[in-house]
Amino acid sequence: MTPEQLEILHAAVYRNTGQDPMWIGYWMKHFVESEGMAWPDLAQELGTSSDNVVLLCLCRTPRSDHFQEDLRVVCERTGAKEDVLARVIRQEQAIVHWRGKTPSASTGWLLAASDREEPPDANQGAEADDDED
Amino acid sequence: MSQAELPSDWRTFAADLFTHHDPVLQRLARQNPSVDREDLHDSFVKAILEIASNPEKFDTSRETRIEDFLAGASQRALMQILRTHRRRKKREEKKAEAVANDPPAARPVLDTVADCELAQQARAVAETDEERNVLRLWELGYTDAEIGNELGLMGDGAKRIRDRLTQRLRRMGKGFDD
Repeated sequence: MTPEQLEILHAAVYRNTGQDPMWIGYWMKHFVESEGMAWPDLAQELGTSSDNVVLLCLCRTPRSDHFQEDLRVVCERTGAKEDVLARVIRQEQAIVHWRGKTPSASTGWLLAASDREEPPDANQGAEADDDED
Repeated sequence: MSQAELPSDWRTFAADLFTHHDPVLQRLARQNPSVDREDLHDSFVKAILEIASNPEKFDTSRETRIEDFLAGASQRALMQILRTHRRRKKREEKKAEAVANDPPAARPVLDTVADCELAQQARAVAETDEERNVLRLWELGYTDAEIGNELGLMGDGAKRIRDRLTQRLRRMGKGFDD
């Protein structure tokens, strides 16, 4: 695979995982966008390679009630620093919570059309889904 | 005959499947030489995310190698992507044609409404999220069937909601006819 093809593949991972809070890629995509940073910069901050950041995007978001355990598993798999990844995920989850939106990109714009108040724990949806596993 | 073995840890399931990308994408490219590379890669990623989300839905017993299994799932995802492209293209062509011909009846209702500065009033009379969402999709040129599909409405739910909005606007003395 050529570097150009690899780049297209990585973009496909960022794009597709970035649409669903079930994946760590969702939180990382929001993080790089809100921080105005490039993916290689995030890789560096996480202390891992760009290839491993792609794998990290494909890992499941840690469950809130097993956060450390799940975090450790995905960081062992990808070589990412646990503390940095925890900060990235927590920060983005806090932002979603603060905005009072359900973090579902698939229906996000429709919900954004609403002026109805969301329940205060609306951002727990992804974690609740994960808990079913 | 042994079957293709899937990764065991659900947390890193998709990442583990992803490592097989090279042979799978090569095969997809061979099977679909005229398809855009971006769509091929999207299909592979969508397939592994779907498998990792619902592994119980996939039957691995017919394949002995994980690459064969992934290539089949990616090919199915690709067909779905191409169908979506075709539908979008058709919708855009239809819209472009309607705008070019410009007979009022052929234009989406809210284009007419917008011309009369009624779009805002139509939105104002929408009382529920569902009504607002139907309205927005209609403004984007979606058909009733597509709106119903997008919002998970049963039967002619989208049309019923539009009819309700129409009646409400009529009561207010505004034009909002199909």
